[in-house]
Amino acid sequence: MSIYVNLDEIIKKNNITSKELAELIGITEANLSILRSNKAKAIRFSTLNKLCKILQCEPGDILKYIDDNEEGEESEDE
Amino acid sequence: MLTKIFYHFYNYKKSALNLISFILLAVVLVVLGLISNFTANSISVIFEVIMYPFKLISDLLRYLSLSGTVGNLISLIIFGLISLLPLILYVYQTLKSKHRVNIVSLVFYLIISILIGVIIYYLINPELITRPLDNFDYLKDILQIYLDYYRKTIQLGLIFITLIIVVLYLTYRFLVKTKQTSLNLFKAAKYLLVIQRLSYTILFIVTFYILPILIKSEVKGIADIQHGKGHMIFLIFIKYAFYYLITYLWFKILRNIHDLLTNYTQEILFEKENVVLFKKCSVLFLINFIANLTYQLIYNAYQLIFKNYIQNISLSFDFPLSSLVLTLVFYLLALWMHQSYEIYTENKLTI
Repeated sequence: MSIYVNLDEIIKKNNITSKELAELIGITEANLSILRSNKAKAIRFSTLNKLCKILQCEPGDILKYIDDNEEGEESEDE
Repeated sequence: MLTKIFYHFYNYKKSALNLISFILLAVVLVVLGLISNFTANSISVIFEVIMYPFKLISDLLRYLSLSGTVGNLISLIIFGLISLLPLILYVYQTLKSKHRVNIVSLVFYLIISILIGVIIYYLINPELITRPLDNFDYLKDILQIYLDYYRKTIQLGLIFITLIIVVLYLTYRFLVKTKQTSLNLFKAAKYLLVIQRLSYTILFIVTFYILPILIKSEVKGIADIQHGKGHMIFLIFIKYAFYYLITYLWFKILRNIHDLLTNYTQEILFEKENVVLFKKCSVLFLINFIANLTYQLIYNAYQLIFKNYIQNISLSFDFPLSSLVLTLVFYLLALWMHQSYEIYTENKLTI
């Protein structure tokens, strides 16, 4: 998967717990955990909208694109 | 050992009540097998078995009613109570659960009560319909054999009509349940489970009772054959090995369907387990199809090869289209379930 959810850092910056964030967005803690661990298959615009609003950030701050090939090459170089 | 087999196939929870019922079923099957071994020469015994409970009740009632005035009165009361038992149970259940009376159910229980009443009454007086013929003694002698068949046909016909109505009612209940909210679809699967368990019982009767009777009658038939006994024994062996294989396959298929229905009753719908179960059913029907063709090939080819040694050659070919269609149907269902499962998991992981 090339799209990564970069929630951990933003959550730390905002000094908010997972429980509080899940309650504010209106999803379960289990689903937030799926999102944070990059196991989610897709994210709804409404969820992204709420995340940006609560964490005061842009969608680009949450979602990050990493080329899988580049990552592979880097690890091979190492 | 029989109870172990029953437990395995019925997939019931282990409880004292189930254990007792299974032991009883096993004992009944063994006893029936033994009786058939001594008395039965033909398949008509199976019909006798179906009629047995009704016959037992009617014989007891006839004995009671002939014993005197009090006995007659008691037998009339028992007759009424047994006949009305389904209706009484339905009314009691409705009153207990405080549900509204379902008119279709009420009519069904009424019809069943009437049918049971008619069957028992007819069995108490088996010559009821043919009694006018008593005036013609010469006719009675000629028609005696036909009359016996005629009476038996009526008895069996009435019992089969009752069984068909019960199955139709169960189907109706299932359709009504599925028509209601989506949640009830799962609850409705319980009605199919009843039919499922009935089919198990029929299969057990086929395995331990009907097939042994058929084998016995075939083996008896060999005695009359002048030459080629060894070949006939081989053909009978092939035939019944195939029949037992088909019965076993049906057990396995029903077991898988049973698991599917149990999953539905527990609201487990789009799971990988169900995909596997559908695939298993498809494979089992395919084995059924291949086994059927192989059996026919061996059976016919053997007769052709040894035609000079076999007295009665009977060649036949029957394409097992239903097995092939069911293989494809279950395969398509497995594919559909697999896709649904993938969409379901994707939806579940959309946050």
